[in-house]
Amino acid sequence: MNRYIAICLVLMLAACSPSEEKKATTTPLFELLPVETTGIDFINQLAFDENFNVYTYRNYYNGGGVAIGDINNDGLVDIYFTSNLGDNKLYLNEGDFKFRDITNEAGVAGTKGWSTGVTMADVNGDGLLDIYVCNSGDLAGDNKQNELFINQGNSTFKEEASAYGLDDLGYSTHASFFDFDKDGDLDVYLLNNSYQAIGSFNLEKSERSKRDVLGGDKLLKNNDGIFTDVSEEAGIYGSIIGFGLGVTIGDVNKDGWDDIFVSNDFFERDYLYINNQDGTFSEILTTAMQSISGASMGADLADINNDSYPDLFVTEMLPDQYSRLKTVTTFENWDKYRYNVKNGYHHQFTRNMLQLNNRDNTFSEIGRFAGVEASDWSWGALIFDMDNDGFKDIFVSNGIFQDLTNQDYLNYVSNEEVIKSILVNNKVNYKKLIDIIPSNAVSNKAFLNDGKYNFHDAAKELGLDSLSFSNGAAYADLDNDGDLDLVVNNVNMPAFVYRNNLNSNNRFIRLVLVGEGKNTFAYGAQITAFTGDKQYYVEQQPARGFQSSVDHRPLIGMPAGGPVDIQVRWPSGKITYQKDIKTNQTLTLKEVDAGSTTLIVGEKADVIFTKKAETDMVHVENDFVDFYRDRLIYHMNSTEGPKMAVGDINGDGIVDFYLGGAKGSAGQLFVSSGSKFLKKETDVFEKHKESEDLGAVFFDADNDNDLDLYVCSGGSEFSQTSSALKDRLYINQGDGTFVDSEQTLPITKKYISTSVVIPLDYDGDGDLDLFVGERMNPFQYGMPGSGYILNNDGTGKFKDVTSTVAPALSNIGMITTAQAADLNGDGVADLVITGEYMGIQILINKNGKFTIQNDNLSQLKGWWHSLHLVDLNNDGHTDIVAGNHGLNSRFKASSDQPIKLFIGDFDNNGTLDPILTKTNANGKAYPYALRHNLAEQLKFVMKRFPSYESFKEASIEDILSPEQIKAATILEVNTLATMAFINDGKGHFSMRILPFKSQLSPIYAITSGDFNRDGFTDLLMGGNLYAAKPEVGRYDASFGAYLENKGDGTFLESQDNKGFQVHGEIRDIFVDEKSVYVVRNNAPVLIFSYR
Amino acid sequence: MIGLIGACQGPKKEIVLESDMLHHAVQNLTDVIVHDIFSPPVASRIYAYTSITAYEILALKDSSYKSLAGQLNGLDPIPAPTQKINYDVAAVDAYLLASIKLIFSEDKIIQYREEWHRDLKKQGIDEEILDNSIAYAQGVVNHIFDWADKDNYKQTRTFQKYTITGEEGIWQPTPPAYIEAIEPHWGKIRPFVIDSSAQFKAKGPNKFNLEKENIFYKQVVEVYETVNNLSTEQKEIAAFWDCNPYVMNVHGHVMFATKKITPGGHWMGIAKIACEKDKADLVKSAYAYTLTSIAIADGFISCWDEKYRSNLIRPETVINKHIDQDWLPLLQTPPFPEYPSGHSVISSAAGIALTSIFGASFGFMDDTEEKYGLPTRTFSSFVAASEEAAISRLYGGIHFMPAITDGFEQGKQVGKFIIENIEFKEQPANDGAVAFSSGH
Repeated sequence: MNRYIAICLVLMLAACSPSEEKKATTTPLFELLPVETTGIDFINQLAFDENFNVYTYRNYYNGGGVAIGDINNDGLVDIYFTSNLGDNKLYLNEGDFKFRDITNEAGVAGTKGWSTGVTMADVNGDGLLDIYVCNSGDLAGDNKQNELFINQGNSTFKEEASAYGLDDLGYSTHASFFDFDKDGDLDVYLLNNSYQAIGSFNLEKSERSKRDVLGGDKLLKNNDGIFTDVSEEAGIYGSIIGFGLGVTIGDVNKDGWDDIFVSNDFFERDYLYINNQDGTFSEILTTAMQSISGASMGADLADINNDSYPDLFVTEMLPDQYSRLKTVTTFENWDKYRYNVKNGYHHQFTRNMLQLNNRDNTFSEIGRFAGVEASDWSWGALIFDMDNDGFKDIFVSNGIFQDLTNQDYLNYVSNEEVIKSILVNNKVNYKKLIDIIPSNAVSNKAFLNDGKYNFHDAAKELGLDSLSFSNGAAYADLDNDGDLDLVVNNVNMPAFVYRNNLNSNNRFIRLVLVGEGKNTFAYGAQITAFTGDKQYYVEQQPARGFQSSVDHRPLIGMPAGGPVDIQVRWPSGKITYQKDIKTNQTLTLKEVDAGSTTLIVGEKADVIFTKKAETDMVHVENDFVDFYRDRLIYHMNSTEGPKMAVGDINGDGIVDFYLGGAKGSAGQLFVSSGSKFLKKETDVFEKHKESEDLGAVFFDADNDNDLDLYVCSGGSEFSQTSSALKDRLYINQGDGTFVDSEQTLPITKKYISTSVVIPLDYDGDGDLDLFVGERMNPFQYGMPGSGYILNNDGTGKFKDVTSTVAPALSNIGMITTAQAADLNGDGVADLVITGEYMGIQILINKNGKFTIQNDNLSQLKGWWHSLHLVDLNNDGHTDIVAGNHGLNSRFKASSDQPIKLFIGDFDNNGTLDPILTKTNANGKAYPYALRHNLAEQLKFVMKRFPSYESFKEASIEDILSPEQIKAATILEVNTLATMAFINDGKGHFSMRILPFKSQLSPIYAITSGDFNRDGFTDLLMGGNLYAAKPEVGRYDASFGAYLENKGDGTFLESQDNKGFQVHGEIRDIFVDEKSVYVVRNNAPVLIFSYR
Repeated sequence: MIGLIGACQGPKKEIVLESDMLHHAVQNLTDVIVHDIFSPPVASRIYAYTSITAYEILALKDSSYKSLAGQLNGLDPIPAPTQKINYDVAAVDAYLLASIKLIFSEDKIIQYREEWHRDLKKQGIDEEILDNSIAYAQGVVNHIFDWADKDNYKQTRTFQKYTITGEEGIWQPTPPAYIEAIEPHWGKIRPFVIDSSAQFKAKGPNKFNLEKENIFYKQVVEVYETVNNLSTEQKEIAAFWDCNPYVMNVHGHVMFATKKITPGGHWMGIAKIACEKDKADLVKSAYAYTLTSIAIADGFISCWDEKYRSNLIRPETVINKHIDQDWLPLLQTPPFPEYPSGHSVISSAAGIALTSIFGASFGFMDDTEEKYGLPTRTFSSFVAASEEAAISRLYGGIHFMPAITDGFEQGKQVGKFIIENIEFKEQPANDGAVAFSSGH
């Protein structure tokens, strides 16, 4: 245990060190400047209107935006705010954080209704920033043309939207200018929100591809100053179900052409358009991203891990505070989620998403790992380096003026008010109805990046924690001191102007980019700074976050260090490369001066694994929904197969496969002919097709020198009275044909759901005995299972000898996996066993008896799914690699704050009620389940807690009586990381948390090999679990993990998988001298060759 | 509200309750049922157990009424009082106590009960008798709930949820909230009078078939066209009998639920109206509530058994998929399979129950829905009201015609079986029997 704590401490210290430095300064990094200092007195003031309110206009609280740019080319950036009901405002920067309201002189107040997004861009290419304002109009639906304020060069503007063809009549949210066709001028993507009532859509109707004149998004091409709609020919969706709240432009595949991400609110999925370089786009979101946010709000695209590929952050509405989660949130149920997926809306979940660019047109969603998935009702997302440490941080502006989703309001309070008002005048009194909605201001979020994919909310320590209802936000260096300041537009309170007080050794380079032709600010330019082996990457695209646009002068921060080179890839494709740039300066670069179009520093492809064609060895999963029966669990237990048994069954010297079948499908035998695998029809497997196959192994049961087959029948589908749970032993007739041994296995007294079988000669009598592990008690989730030692009488007849040989295996837990190997160097095989809510249990074999080792590993209670025993550091001792739930999860556990499962029949109805809890900082256990979900299982919850408010702080002690808790079976989880354990040779182990990419999903399969042929054992692992409740979200971020051994049993942190890229849920991996066989749930087996 | 009988015998008074005390208690219960959002079948169970509790006490007092012990499945006689009690007070108190046990939001009823106790004291009730009556009421409630606890309600709470198969013609969740199927195992609840949930099976829906000439397709078109061509009165009828306890209104991210009484709650309201018009005393009122609520409860059990046997698709789903993608029913489709219509079954059963008490031509003005902003409707008889409730489901666009006609027939059989198999009066109620036989 001590060693484990030590490791955690080291990790924590490492994570804390950057912020430690900051704490040295007494004033926070960001300082909120008063109106008296700045002169910025802007408030986006909303008043109640009987006709125009949040019931009649659904985007009523979406707020306004901020655009920052230097409108008079005096070197100081100016600020424009949009207002929903009042006038928009332009403040001229007069230096030293003094601003002057020049709205009226400049003529930019706007005359149209309900301004939303704003972008500063040089639309006409005259070198002056113009201002484009999106308007959503008044209640009648009139007066909503967007406005284009063309800069006249003397700090005055003329509204000329109609002359440019930009006076769009849609409910526009935002617009982003970019040169999609590289013809040298700025085109625009116009984000329009649908006007149709949200409750009126038929989700089965496919509306996406039908264009809608008003509601639809548009791509407008700039033809000599006239913008024309080219959406249709370009392949851009513009339908009535487009609820666009964010458009984010950048080059996600680094081909030099700008791509588009659109975040859509409500049920419509987001869009990711890849630029085809011919004026058209391909929308690839569903293949590029596995999980996306449901009600997507703002987004930003920037490189968070310094690999020079932009990553994507999208905001949603999941509260981070426990009490708010319990009062304002509902999650889709399994049926609704599946219905949406079936109808083409993809896998949407209620949380922010951080999509890590895998550099192959796919993304891994790592928001839960990074700790950025919850930030309450969020709007703007800005990825920028707050402290110039070289790692871009994330700022989220959030808050909703009224908690529209307050569950007490929705279910109880609103109804009574509606009834009252209907009785008074026979129509709904919206004012009353709205006035009673709770209003809670929340703190914006500032997630600091530690450089290892971990972010922590530092809003408080950074001084960004004022309670507010914030919407649009933009960053810019307002005082030109080399760090980024922040401006935030708020509903019903003054806008925030934060000065960045950074005072550190970190360096910066500011770039002023001058483009050729009419794209004067070089939108689309890609800038990389190189220093040592580090690189820092930004793209020139000011429209970012929510309804806002940022500084036009890209700023790159980095720690103190050696010389810096800069590479700019211009929109034209030309390259500027400058060596040894002075830092802490503004560098002006011109496209016209650039030369070659070859990247100076390019990509090196290093491939070890090459995918061969998909095989016709296919596993088909049965449709079974555990949640219908076990309604309080979060992960299904019915999709854990298949496993593969590998061995030469016909003595031809080549390995053959048995691939387990799910319930309803027989296991399949594939016989290798050397070049391919042929399925061998086997009636005896067909007979057992009702069984769900989990573990399977070829071994010689009857000592006749051929391989027999043991298959574990498991799964959660069957009750313990079902003979489909009977394990099977098939005896090889010597020629690769099998007959059923007809033994009742593993034990005769009852049917049990098993997961794993391991052959081992524990008693040294020359025949192979078996270990078999029980996975679960179906219908009684959480209750422990047992391990069984089956003694072989030498003829393949097995007898349960557990009680004499290994009594500790009785009720040891929910066993998922086991392995046997000699751990203590005495030459006999020991056992390692683990499972859900179990530690890594080592059973030492001494003279044919197993003694359980109570050590540090046995205390690591996890949701373990896989084990692999191998010598990782070439010291001759067997080490352990253990696959756990992983760290990219809503579930977090530590020994201080464990996850607990309380099991008991709390309502005395004959059914066990497993209540899963998290431990909060106060040490108390709180249920994960929301009130209505817990009440679905335990009706008394409704009685004890008649409102959501009364439930929001209820711990397990408030929900259950002391007697109930005392009588409950309580299981615990304190470790979710996938880990390696290094053997000292005596069976004692030290622990290591494995690298980032092995933590992205639950790991169900681990194997090893020297894949790069350097003499050290590397690891291959895989997992994913799709059958998870929507409220925790499916686990799909892993594409398999290749971990390269540095030589000492530690592994490279590299994100690069060297060609091992697997979609799907990996359940087993087998490696031979030249190939890797990957077994997936509900998918064909894949084969990779390796170098 | 409280009548005084007898001459003054010292300071303490003998108190006799009039029926409105019970009506108030029922109304209180209905309000909380609406607040707590109980589904129609669960609400029917609440009404039945509370009514039976009160009735059993009053039947001890009035020898012309018979206990239901031995007549209802599994009910043993309640204990006799061992001390001097006031039966009326005990009955109403037991009704309130039973209500508190069965609903979630206890505060409102607890507060009402406390105020009523204070009132009784103010009226001069002998406090010892009050205490005895309250203690006795609690004992009866315990007895009734020992019985109620064995009706499989608790067990069914965690039975498997409805499985969506995606098969053609099979029910699936409906817009806008796509709520999962309510109470898929309600057919496993112990009925009160009928032998089993399947004793009066409906004949079964027409087979899903969308060929133009097929009867199923025609019934789909019938719903579609009826809803598209509703008269004002038809719309009023649909709204009047909506009785949907949870209608979701979606306005973007802001939503609110509008809640109404359940079908059972509506018929409790009609029972009250009938009692008031008939000037029924306390025990007769309890009789009316009890018989009606039992008919409704067994109606729901029969109906739900069939709903999850046939698992029929709702009109909204078929029409949106095959006829008109944009079509919306007038009423929000409730979250359970289509066949048979619950409102038709239970209204038919309730109509027969009330007819057996108050007669076949008992006209009344139904203002039950006034609280929810709906007008009063006038009916010439209970059966006329139940017929209108049934057909309202077609106008609402939430049921096909066979669910209505077969449901009405199923309810009739359940109701008839109940009035023929349990006796409340020592002598059978003539008017009811006559009324019913004329209905053959």
